[in-house]
Amino acid sequence: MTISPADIETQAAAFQEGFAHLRSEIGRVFVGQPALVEQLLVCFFCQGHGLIEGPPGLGKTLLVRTLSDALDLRFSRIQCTPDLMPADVTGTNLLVETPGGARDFTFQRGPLFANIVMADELNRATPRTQAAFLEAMQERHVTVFGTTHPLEEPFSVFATQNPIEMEGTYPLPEAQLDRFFFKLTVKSPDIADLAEILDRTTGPDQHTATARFGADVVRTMVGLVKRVKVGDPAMQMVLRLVRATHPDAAEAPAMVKSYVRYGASPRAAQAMILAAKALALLGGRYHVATDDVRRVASPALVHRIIRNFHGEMEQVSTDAIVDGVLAAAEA
Amino acid sequence: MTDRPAGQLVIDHVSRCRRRLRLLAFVRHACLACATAVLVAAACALGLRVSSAIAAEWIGAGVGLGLAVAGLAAALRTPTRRATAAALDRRLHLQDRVVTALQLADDEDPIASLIVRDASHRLRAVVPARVFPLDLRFDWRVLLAPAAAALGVLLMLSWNETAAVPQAPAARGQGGAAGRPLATQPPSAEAARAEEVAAAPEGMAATAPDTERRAEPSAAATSQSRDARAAAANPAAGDARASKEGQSQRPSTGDDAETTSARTESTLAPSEPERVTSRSGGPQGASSPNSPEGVNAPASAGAPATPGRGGLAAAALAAGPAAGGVAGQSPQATDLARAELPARQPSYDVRYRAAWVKAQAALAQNRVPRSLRSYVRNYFEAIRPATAE
Repeated sequence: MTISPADIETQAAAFQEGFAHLRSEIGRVFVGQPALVEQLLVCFFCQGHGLIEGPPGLGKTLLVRTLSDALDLRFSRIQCTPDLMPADVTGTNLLVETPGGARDFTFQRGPLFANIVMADELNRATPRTQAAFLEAMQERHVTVFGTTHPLEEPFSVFATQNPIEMEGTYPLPEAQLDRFFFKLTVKSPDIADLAEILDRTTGPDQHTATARFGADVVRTMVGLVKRVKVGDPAMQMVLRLVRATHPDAAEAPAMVKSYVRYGASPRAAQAMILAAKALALLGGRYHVATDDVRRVASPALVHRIIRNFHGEMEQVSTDAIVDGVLAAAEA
Repeated sequence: MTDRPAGQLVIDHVSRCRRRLRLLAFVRHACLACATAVLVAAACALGLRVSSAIAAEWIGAGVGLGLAVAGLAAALRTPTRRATAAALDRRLHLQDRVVTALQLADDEDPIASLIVRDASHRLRAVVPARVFPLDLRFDWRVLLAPAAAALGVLLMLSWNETAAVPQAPAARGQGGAAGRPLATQPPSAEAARAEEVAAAPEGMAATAPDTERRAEPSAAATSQSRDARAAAANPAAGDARASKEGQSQRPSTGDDAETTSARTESTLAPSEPERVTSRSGGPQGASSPNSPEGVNAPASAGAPATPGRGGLAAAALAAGPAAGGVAGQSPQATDLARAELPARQPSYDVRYRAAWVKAQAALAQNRVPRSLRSYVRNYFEAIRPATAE
């Protein structure tokens, strides 16, 4: 089916209006942090998975749930614990008795079968359970007893992890970290936001987001994002950025050579391009600009850069490394 | 669907901006290259002490060379179409619209056509000269330094030439009456001077110091010219000397034989023949009516020719600068006089022949006193150039 420029313009206008509506609806429930909200929405409309990191009590779960409510999508939440089993996530075959009296195995779908999955404190789950998420996030299907079950589109996993309570946790391996499209950091609210939070949560009125869109609309919006064109300047910038994160690359700045063990994978480049496309649409453009790449570089790269011993000992943050990489790529 | 006109519009706009960038690059390079070339040319001209005319030519050539280099540099370093589009994006904050539109100008995708249309819409009102104004990337006043340096060098060389010109007449006897540079005098200045002297009363035409001053630097201070000067300064002494040497062939005509003799000596003195000639001929009054071919023609500024002494003087004057510049009768002096002759004057040989023809005519017409005829012949024999037959 061919699509006309007029149709695209209509879809783009709907995308911008829907995005603004989502921002507004989420803002009615989740106070402040507009950048975080935007990154979350970009991540979702690019059909990526987000790793949300922040101290407890900052509304990580609320944020993802509100997104699901506003989009009118199926939402499921998994509280990860050390005793959580993969079958508890993916589902399992149950022996059931048919109406005719026969017994048969029937697949019982797990919480992964939803449009938006919230994996709370993912780093508390055992590596075995984390691996169950791995296949679902990357392949968008689960395999149980040799049978593959596709996941319904749209599908996004938003995992949270608590950076301060590391005891009894299983830090996510690099391979699994790489599966996350963005790493979103929730910051503590300032005075005004904190007052607003108190006002909203301690009063008699309960704020909720108005449901809208649905899976079909979201799929259309996701498809539109992928149609956005990428010009040479933006593409070159993405390539330079990714190359600059590798300590053995000539383009790498001194900071990367000193403190980085592994650089970003091609998935980082894919994430930057896709996220930049979404930002371009939001900006009323049908092409990616270098400014878009610049805006998405940090959330796309920060969890994909693995520091070496010196970097960890000197407590060089990956944010600082990404800033250095950005400066080197623009030079 | 492809929006070809919009794509072509984008390409045209980018091409116009590209031409503008090329022009700016040319101007920028031309300023630098011309300034450098002018400085180098001025330095070379100053170092080699060439004339101001040559220095001006060198500086002009430097400017031309700078322009050529700038043109070459601008042609070689013209930004590509893509670089021009990127520059447009940066200047107009178009967020890579033009670059992407240029890249997708031939794309069939509907999104591409939207991008191209958007870019062409934004470029429609763009004026390249406003987007890329003249920017030398340095303070234009820097260019005043090489210009001032070139002008200074030209002025310095020109001043040196002006100061050096009077040295030539000074070497030849302090030049004209007003001490003007020789180069500023017209070719007939000496004849005019002779006219002035001729118009003066007899005996006041030339004072002894004047004669001495003129004769002194003539470098050809032969003994004969010294005698002539002495005679001019002190007619009595000159008389005595002439009598003593037996060369005072007194003219059969004339009022004062001694003075005439001395004047004749002075006339034949190479240092200033024309002056003395005029002096001797002037007071005598009108030109000779039987002077067929204007013996005094070289002194045609008005110096009258008279028979007798005047004729001899006219003959010597006809020899003009040749005789005057010979500095006596020594070959070295003749060479010196040749060296001092301005390049644009006829050669010594030509002038000698002309003067000798006129002298022969004067001799044939008995306009030269008999007692002086041999003297005239001897004189011309003495100053005869080696090449003359």
